[in-house]
Amino acid sequence: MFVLLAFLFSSIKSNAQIDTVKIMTSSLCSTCKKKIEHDLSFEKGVKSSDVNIDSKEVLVVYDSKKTNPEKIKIAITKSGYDADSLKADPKAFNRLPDCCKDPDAHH
Amino acid sequence: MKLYQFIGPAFHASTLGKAGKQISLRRQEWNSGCQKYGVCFTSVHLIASLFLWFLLHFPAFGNAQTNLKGKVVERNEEKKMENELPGANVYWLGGDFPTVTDEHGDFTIKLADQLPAYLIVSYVGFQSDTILIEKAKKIKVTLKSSVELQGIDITARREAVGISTINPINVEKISQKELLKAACCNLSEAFETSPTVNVAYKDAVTGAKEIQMLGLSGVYSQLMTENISSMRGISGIYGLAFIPGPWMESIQVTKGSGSVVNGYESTTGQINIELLKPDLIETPRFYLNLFRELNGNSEINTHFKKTINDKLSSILMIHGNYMGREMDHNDDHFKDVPSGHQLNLYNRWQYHSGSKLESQFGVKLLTDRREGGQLKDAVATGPTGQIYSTQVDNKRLEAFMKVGIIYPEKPFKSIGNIVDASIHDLKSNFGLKSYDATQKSLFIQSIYQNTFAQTNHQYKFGLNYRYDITEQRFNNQASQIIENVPGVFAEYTYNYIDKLTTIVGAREDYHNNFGWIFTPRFHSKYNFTESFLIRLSAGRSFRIPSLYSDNISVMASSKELRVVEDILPERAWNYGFNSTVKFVLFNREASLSGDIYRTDFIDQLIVDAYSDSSAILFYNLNGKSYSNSMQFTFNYELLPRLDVRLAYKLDDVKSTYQGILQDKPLVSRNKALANIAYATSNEHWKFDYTLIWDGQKKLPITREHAEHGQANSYSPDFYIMHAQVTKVFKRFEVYGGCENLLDFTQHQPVINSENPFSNEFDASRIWGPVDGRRVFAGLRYKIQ
Repeated sequence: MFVLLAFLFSSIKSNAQIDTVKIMTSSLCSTCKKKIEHDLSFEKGVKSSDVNIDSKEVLVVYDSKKTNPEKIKIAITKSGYDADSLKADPKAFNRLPDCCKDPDAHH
Repeated sequence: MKLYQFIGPAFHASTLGKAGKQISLRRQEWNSGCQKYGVCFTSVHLIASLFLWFLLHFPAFGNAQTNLKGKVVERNEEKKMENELPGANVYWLGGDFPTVTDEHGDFTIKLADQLPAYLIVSYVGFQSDTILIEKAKKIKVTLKSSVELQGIDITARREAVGISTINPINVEKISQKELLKAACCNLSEAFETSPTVNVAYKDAVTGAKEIQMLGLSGVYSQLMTENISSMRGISGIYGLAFIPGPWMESIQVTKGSGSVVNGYESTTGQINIELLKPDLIETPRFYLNLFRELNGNSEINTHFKKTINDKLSSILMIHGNYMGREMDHNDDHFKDVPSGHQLNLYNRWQYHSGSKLESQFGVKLLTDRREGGQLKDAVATGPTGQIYSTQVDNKRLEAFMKVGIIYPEKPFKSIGNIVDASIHDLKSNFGLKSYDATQKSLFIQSIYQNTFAQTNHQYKFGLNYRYDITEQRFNNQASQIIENVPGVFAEYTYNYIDKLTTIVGAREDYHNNFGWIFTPRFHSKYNFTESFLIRLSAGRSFRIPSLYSDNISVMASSKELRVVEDILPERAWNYGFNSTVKFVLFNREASLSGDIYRTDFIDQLIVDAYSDSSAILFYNLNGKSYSNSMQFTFNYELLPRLDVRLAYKLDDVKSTYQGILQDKPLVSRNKALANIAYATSNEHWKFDYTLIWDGQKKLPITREHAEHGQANSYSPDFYIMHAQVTKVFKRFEVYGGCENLLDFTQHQPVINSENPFSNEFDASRIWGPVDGRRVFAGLRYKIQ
């Protein structure tokens, strides 16, 4: 009985193909880091993400069977941030708090 | 330079380390010389030593390159900037020539006698840096904050309850993460996961709760909001329900005496509540919280933050709650939880001039109504055909202003001024008893702080003035109390490298009714290492007890309130010892903290519910009254994102009641707490579970006991469980859970519930939970 269940479970759990990608964002502060990571965690296929505040690069761990770097970049732009050559969605950018829009804004 | 060859060990004992071995060899040669000639110093050696010692310590006479200059900076991850770090410790390995960086982060240290040598730069909260110095060339040192332990792969997450190894005063910080572990509707629920502070119902009818610290009632802890003493007197009776959970950013719980800066009243501790600040980016621009319980209680919280420009910002916080249903799950025809409503508003403005001036202004407005007692359909047994009911109406208006003057070139120098004014109106009745009071208060304070010599000596001194006028009426007895208290205080902090920090403070106040009050306080912390330290504290407190407002629960009984004599002010000494260790267990962070505190009352208001079963006697302490409280807390990150807390507390609290030293009633000797918190890897799901074990408590005497000749009885021990689940979505989060999962309630919280107007009625004998299982759910939405 357990062998059958174990077999069923292993077939349900698809073999995930884990891959990583580094994308340059327009993150300015820790609030931006939290927002990018939070929004990316809801993207299908994204396992985890980590924004480096200094370099502004985000390292994304994803399942290449469910998503790809292009989709991830689009998701970042929808959050209001640039992703490599793609520009941030203007509406989403406007919704960001001031410190994430203007590098000189007081924190 | 091999100066040690010429300078005797007497002058050079401190410069050991690598050179130490050679010095001990030298000492052997000296010793053999001593034995041979019977003289340890020859005059030649002495003169040579003196001359070279002179050269070393007075650079003007010798080589100009006897100092090492440098600059210490900290790396600011946020702004990708480097900030100069004043007050950083700089010393050679072995502890030589310790110095401290000035306001520009610059230092000048006497060169070690032998190069190359290791220079250590350290600052509390940062990873120390050890640099090999080969020549006297100017250096720049960059420190990083010590969040991660070196060499071990630990993802540093914000610790929910921070047991600090930095603060010399024993402060337990309850962060926002911790506050979200429980339903936390208001301050009374904020301590559910804290082993230090216990919260319990005062009585079975009004819904009023009180804090307990170190085994003693909450009246002995000083509650502050943003470092302004709050909940004093009338506003403290129901005060725990007046600060909504979402308004709080963090809570700092100080065990023991606390600093002199905040006054003379704190005996067992100080609890400081920090509210959300409009000038911080972490504060969301818009916040909405909806909360609902199965028993009918509904709450709404909303915040609006406005950033007007880079200098001025403000926040408006609104809270409302409504409880309309009458719940009675134990069928005693008394409401388990009072019905009522509250509206609470807070508006705060913050101004940063960019140069010297910082200021804040705030206004609070509150109205709260609670109706408890018998259900509407209960059998009326009152003298005019009424049911037994309690009504409590609180209205409050408060305004405060803070003006600070800072000196950007001197980060340790500042002047702070506070003005706070409030009016609090209370109208209440308990069956046939009534209690009304109005308190008007004014508080003004000015603090000047600075450092002298280098930043290892810091000092503060200040003045404050307190004015309170309280008009109260209990049944037909009216009285007025006026308090006029100016005071002056001073506090000195000494830091020795990162090892020892000592704070000594004293204050002198003049009370219009009681004369001069002198309050000394002492705190010291010694770090054996960065993660192992001990703390000591001692201090005296002074407090004027308030018969009715401190003991409001006695009104919910038919016992006579008998004041035997004129009540004296309460004076106590508090001594404490704490030891905290942070370590790594199976590659994960853990901490263990143990403390023991003793509070000794010299004078105290004794509330005696023992001696006479028909009355509560109020008299002055005649004999011993003390509390010995011991607590152990263990925090451990068992698995990634799985935090475990285990705590045990032992309270030995005794007072002398009519000549006999006895256990204080309604205080448990033993308590234990276990809390588990887990978050999934993407933080989309959070689970919190708390288990509390509360030991037996001695019970006040009842008429039944007296008639049957029974000795005092004890309440049973019991378990309480709380659990909560939170699901995080992209734009909002939803949470739900259960308080008091086991539905444990005290048997018979209301004694003689069928005859509330009789002599045997007593709803104040509360030792356990009064409300049963509470199932709740809520939603949080915010725009950052």
